[in-house]
Amino acid sequence: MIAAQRAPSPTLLAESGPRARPEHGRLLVVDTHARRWRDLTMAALPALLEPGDLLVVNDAATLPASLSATVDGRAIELRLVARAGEGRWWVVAFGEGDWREDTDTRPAPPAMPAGALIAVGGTLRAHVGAVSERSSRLVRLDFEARGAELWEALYAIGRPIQYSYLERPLALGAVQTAYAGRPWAVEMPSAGYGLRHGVLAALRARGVGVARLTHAAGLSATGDPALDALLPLPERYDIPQATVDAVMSTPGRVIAVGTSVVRALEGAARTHGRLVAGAGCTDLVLRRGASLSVVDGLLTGMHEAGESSHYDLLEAVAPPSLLAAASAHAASAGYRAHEFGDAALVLPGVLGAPQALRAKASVNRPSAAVSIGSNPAA
Amino acid sequence: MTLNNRTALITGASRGLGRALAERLAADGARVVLVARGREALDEVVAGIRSRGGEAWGIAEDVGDPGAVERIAGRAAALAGPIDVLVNNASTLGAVPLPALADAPVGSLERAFAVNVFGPYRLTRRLLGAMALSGEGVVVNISSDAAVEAYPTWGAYGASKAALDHLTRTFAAELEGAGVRVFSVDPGEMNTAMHAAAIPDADPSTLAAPSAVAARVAEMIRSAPGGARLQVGEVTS
Repeated sequence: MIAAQRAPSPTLLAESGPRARPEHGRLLVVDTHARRWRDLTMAALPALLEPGDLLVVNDAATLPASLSATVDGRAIELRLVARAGEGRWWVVAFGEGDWREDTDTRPAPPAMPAGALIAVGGTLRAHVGAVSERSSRLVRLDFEARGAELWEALYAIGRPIQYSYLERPLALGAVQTAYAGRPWAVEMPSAGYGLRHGVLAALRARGVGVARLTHAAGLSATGDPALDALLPLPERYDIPQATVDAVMSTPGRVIAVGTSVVRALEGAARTHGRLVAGAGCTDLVLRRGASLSVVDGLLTGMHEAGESSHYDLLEAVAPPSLLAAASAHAASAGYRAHEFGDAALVLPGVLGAPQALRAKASVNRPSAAVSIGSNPAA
Repeated sequence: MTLNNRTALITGASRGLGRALAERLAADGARVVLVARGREALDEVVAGIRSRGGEAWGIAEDVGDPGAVERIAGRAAALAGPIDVLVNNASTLGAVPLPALADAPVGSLERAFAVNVFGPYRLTRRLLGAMALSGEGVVVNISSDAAVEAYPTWGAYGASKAALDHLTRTFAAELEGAGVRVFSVDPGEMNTAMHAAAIPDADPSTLAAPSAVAARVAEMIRSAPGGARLQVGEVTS
């Protein structure tokens, strides 16, 4: 989520599809203390970190969240947004068309009032159980099928959400991280895309910890400006006790892999006053000047400046002027953006003398003034 | 590893050793997800486990289908939670009656490798990363003495199981220190439909009961070291 600078100048190009060797991606290493950067590759990550440092990843597997459906005989696409209890899902509806069209230019779907019958994928039936006050395109579907039967149908009908920059349609296996567990994410937690098994083994050998949490990473775009302005919507997470223990006991730095991990860790710490294990839901939005109580640094994917919630969060971990300069460098140096693109490691002291900077932000530090944007949504 | 409150995924679980293992692990307190091609037989085994108080789900898929791995992994984790134990048990002999290797339809070798090697490979690589992050996990690959000995007419099956054994050792070597144990088990000759298809005139009284073998494999899941190739040996049923 290093973003191309906001002024028009070189823009990041999209990586046009899954890579055969994601672990060979480039890594822009930004030292927020020394205020400089270096061009490296993901293979360099283990050596950049110190024994005792801890990466925290989002282990959510990616759902087949795109479903073809019909309402009143008209074809629509539904995208899962969030599970709302047994047999119930919030979904965003798109009008006719497919992934080759930008979500911003897709036609609006027909009206889907409460009670409307939706036929999904030819085998599933659902009724509109509720319509969001924020957007008529965000509705809750109450499926007739439940449990194992519903999951079977979703995996038979659904495809992963596609992107207009792709050269060919994505298969579900192409949008999974190397450590995917429970299927909670409607789009891939892509910051960890390059953390494949060989890199993870090298991190283990180096003594760098890798802990997990599960966060229901949400949609990146809805095609509706009113809804897009609300992103990210409140998202549920689950933090294992082992991860809390690892964070509290690590002698090194805590590096979040992706914004979803920052939101879960910092959201949990703020809700409870300290980091505690368990399930929760966060509407935390971090902005420039926010102080982080758990996370010291971030491994993140490259995104365009338009994805402003990403950029805002990055400004919580790095000075805006440094980000702008590093982003301009990334664009002119040909870094690739989006889900299958390159990555950035933003960490104080990563290119300097690490020992002098090992005093991490620390989970025990009382939270200083923070800027928390509340994020009302459906 | 104790099996109580763990989640196990067992392929080829509608009959034979796979069924016996699913029943055994469920009786030991594990949540079990059973995978097999035949939905009817699968539903029956799942219903039996549930009637005895076990937690079980069935997924009717063919592990030889490359597209099946995501549906299996996704549905299993959605229903039963992260997978702690994977048992790659589903196997095919290739062509039956067993032909001389040079007479075997080439497609039957491809099918044997699809089910016995690529299926387990895909499922293992899909599931082992999450196991490694939790610091604990077990992958059991069901092998055969035909992986080691060259028996006439067992070429397709034996070659595929030899390949599976080697994948097993390599995965184990790469997961050194990760807490994930990957090992293979030669269960020996059992009184199963597969054995009857391979050797129709065998005397069933000389063959082990799958349930007795399953009890041994459950012990191995608890404690066997990664990288091992274990033999069940003689069992009394």
